[in-house]
Amino acid sequence: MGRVICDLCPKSCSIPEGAAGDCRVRVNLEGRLWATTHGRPSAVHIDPMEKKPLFHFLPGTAIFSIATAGCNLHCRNCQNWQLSQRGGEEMEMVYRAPPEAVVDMAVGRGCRSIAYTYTEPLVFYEYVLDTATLARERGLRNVLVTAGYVNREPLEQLCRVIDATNTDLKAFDDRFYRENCGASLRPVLDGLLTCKRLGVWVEITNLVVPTLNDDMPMIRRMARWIRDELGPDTPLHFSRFHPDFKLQNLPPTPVATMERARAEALDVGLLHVYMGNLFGHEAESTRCPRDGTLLIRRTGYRIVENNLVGGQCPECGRAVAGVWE
Amino acid sequence: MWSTATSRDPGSWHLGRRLVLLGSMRATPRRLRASEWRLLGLAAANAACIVGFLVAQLGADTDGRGGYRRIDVEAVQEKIRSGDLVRHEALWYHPEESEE
Repeated sequence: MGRVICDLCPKSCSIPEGAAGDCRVRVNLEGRLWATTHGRPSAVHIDPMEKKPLFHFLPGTAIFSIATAGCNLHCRNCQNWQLSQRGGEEMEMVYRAPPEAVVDMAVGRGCRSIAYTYTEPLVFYEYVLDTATLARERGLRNVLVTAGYVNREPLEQLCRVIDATNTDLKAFDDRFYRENCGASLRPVLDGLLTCKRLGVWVEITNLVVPTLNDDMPMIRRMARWIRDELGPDTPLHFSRFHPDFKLQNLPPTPVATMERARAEALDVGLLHVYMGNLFGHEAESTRCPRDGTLLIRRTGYRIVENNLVGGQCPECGRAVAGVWE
Repeated sequence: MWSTATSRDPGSWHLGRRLVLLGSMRATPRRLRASEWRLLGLAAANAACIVGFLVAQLGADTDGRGGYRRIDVEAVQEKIRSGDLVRHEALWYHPEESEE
């Protein structure tokens, strides 16, 4: 009695009274489902845009970033598991920050955008939607840093107020999703297509985990899918794994593996392929796909040099895809 | 025929030994002891558990429906009373009855 079904993500949790969905934060009390962390973030920071990472979206600007507890995935390599794998009632630190307060703080601190990030923002969907709607009215942009495991209709509604996303495409392999994350691949791909179709700026991150998803033919298939379905100018960020949570037994990703993955993606025809968690590597910078001119030089999250002129290469005038202003 | 067990040829010796054993099994049919029944029961229960687990896993993959998590309701209610959590009604859900 009083059981409800959550329609937000493909898990379609069937939740009895006094229980939460698999995400831990959508709770059934007296037969109604409550988003218990609405306006109650557990992480609030101001980050550089490059940390999301978004390299082709307002580079060099500060972005106000929030997250609540909970996640609908359970990745064995999660790097924010203290936040993502807990319910709201288990958090020691909870801020009282309703949407109006978040937007006021972002504006007051000179941020041009707000990121819903750190854990899976789709589990605090209502908080994102309300905050992003207000932010839009105040001239701010909204960024979703997500694993993209969500149903189409909720995502379509949210995309009306989202300007950019970095979606974590964890592997181009359904088995990896099932065994390592408790999810599946297809909805993530569908979500990427939805974002693209609705005009959201899309960048993709792929965390390369040694022995689990570093198979080069698979990486090649992923790059080909991105090229064909999202376009060759979609930025792809290969991120270096470091041991965390339940995957302490694996070593950090060898730099040579990262470079091979990048070479495969470039060879397939992707134009902007970056490497993250490798501070100081040349592959953190943006070059003109036509003549190789250095457009943006980065070190870590810092922009050292920005030579773009109106979003174009200063040498050949080629437009570089992105949201630059 | 069982006398071949005494042969010096190793191959025929093994054959003969097998025949001797087979013969003795035929010759002494008996009821299983209680301890053997218990062992058989344990093995059967074990096999049933394994089959049940595999079937459940198969079902979870095919119906795509997620589960739920039991939570400390008192802790949640207390956090709601103190203001650390809220009752903000979620979008995107429906009562299960409406599906049936």
